[in-house]
Amino acid sequence: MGIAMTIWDQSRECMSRDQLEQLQLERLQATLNRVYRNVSFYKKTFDRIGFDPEDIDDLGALSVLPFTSRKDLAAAYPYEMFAVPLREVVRIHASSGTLENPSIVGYTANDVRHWQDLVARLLTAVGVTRDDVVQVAFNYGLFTGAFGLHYGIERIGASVVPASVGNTRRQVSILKDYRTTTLVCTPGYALRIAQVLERMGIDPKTLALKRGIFGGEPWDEQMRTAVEQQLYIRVYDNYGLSEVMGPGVAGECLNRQGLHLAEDHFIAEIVDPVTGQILPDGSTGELVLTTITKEAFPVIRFRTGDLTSLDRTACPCGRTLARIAGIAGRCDDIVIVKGVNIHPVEVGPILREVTGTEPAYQLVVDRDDAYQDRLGIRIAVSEALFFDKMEKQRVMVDRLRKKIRDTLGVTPDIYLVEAASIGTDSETAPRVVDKRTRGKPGA
Amino acid sequence: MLRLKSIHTYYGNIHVLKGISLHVGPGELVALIGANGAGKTTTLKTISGLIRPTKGEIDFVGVPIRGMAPNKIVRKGLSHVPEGRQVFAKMTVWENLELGGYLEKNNAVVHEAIHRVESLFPVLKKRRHQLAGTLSGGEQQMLAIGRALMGWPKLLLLDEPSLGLAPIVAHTVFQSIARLRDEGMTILLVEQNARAALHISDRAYIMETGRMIMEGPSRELLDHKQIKRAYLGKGYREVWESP
Repeated sequence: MGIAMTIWDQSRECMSRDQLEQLQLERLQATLNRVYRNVSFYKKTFDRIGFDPEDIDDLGALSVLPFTSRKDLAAAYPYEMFAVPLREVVRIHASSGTLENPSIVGYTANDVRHWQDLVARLLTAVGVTRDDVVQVAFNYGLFTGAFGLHYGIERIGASVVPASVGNTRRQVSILKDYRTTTLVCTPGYALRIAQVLERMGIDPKTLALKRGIFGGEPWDEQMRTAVEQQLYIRVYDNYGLSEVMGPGVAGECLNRQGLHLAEDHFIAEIVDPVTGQILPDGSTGELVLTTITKEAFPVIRFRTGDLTSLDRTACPCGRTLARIAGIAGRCDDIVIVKGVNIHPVEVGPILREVTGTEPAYQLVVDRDDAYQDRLGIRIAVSEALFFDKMEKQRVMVDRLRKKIRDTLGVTPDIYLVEAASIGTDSETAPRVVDKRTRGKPGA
Repeated sequence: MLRLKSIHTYYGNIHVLKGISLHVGPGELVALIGANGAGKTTTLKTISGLIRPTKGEIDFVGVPIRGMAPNKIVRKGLSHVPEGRQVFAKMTVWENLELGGYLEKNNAVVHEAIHRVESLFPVLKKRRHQLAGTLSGGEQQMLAIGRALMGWPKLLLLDEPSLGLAPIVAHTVFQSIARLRDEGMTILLVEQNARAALHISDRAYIMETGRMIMEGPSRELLDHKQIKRAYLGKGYREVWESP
């Protein structure tokens, strides 16, 4: 049996499929009319395939349109993808991608209002009310995570504590003294907090903390259980990405059988990451999202790179919105370490800069005993990298580590290895080896 | 209640409606807003069967009505008040209303309906025996709406009810429409007076050259910067707000 619960927007979250699809069609047509008129990228893309927005007679026709990739967004840096003049834009964020140009995303006043409401939905779905104190331990800055959740928390009238990141001892003091009931952060950071609590001799049972709402990095049931057991809380998953909006795209309800997707604002498709073919409900593939209410930064068939599946069966909570399974991983080269998107190809130029050559390399991501993400970079030793003095080699490795940290935002462990252990053939040797578990709830 | 799915309508070779989708839920007052020539009136005429679309679906109370004759659509409970208040000038207000009840054969029922309309628009009761042609513009508009209400339709289509009316009179007409919605009537309202329409409606669609470009709760659209600039005018006197 499911758990009865409050619903933020009954009129939208519990529509019949029929009503929902009519609304989606109306909003999709309006969105396509707007992007065709206002975004040169889409004008060109549509013209190239001889498509006119009036050709969309039903939702299925969406599949004739080409995908939009992260590369397309990066090429539009900074504002080329905006569908409204800058004077209509009230907020600007950037995606955490570090590929040459990050994607700059904008929001109109209306976009911000929708965003608040969608975050309010996912908070309400896990039982947050105006009586809660919510501590946001995400980086307040260009990323969408912190601000997105922040305004949604305010929207439902709960107290938001913008703790931001870092200084875990201070986070713990806030947790304890401000009587935080809800913690918002990455699951990895929640475990870090648990560690520090223990070190400070604070019993988690004495805290007011009831629940954690986590996202921002791939995680699994094992990690969920670990946090729940160490902090004595219930833990919920949510999903969002800056290119599409930020947090609020999808979130779990109390039943925790998948994340309800805001289908009245986004149309989801699951496609085969290789062929791009649409896959039937239930199969795992790449999530493709089309925004149907966004004004400043609409995206059409955006390839998220995230692997999941779609479930349109009824949820005991009463919401009729389809659910996606927790993200099972990524199908592109991007690897998310400590919440930071890393493109492995960016390591090459750094190696060349520091060593004067570009040796074969491989990224290895795993977790330590405390479930903290670890980034290792395996570099093939060649003559150019061979030094007779250990000292000289150590200096070079230090420089590399520092340079990579400054560029990617994550400090790596550097391993110099035999070339044969990586393989120089990029066809067979993966650029990234991700050793973190990927089994997910509801998958 | 009403649902249009990707409607295409032509006048001869001119493609007027280019894939219009919209819906009106029971009890909703929905506004359709846009500049001259956007296709608003054509949309209403297509719904009531006066113009036949070439493509798309129209469902009314769950029944497909595309291609159905206008008189049959009226019988299903859909009433269309066209632009320009076409009342019968040489007839009295009472006679005009009686005509509106032509679907009903029982006189007692017709009279009851007239009383209902008169209670909604008290001015019509005052003018009951006056010739319609002697009424003011606003009164004629109320008569036109009253006549369409005679069969107590399930859905009322209103085309530019404020057209040619002095602001203060338009204000009264909009108040009556809002009251009608409060009584449970479902209404699709076409208006050039975007501000007033957004003030009284629940939801709205914005049309431009035969296409929908936006949909949303009227409240959101009212303080939408782009819509304000395009349709509401800056420093424009707020007709809806009482002087």
